[in-house]
Amino acid sequence: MTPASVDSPTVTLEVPSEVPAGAPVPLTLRVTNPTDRLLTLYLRGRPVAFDVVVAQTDGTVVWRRLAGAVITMVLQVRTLAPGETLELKDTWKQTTKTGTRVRPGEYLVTGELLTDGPRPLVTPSVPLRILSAARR
Amino acid sequence: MNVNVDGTAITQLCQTLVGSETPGSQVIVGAGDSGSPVFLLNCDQTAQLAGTLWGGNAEGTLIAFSPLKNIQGELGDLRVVGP
Repeated sequence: MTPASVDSPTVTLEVPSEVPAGAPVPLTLRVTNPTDRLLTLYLRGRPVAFDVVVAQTDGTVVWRRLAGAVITMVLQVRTLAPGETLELKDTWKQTTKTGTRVRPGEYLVTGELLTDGPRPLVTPSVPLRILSAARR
Repeated sequence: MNVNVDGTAITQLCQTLVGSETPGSQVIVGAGDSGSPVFLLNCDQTAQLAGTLWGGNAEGTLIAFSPLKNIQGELGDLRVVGP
């Protein structure tokens, strides 16, 4: 089987559609080989580095997972079999980049998988609603 | 400074960070650069080994390296041999 190019994987982000205010938000970034051949990924970091961006609906970023973070500059070569999925997980504590609690409301969440290229592989944005205490 | 390694429980002690986190800064590091020597350029056009690179920020505009003095303190003095 021939390895496919690095831009072939399907990259998605899973978050709950709505969560109570203050509850940790589980984040799962999935990288799937949708092809029928081996897919070689040239990823950055060990463990694999990935970013998650939480923004208000007007685009204002309230939290970025890797803001201020230091990652290892390791080139990690991963090969995915046809249909195989690599899962990367983390949790957002509903705080801003300065550590304050975000307000209830609508947000858009986007994942980014860092590779050896200049641009990350970006997931489609997914909506997240943080419920106010009164709506719980 | 002490630096937490993202995604791990590891904190690297007494590390050096160089670069900029200002948006639009020049990219100076990328995947696979870990282990690279970091040099200081002297005014007289000579250079000295400053340490070993191991990390950086997501944008690649900032590097983290272990100072040579600390490496030598742990592993012993560096011995330079010819090719």
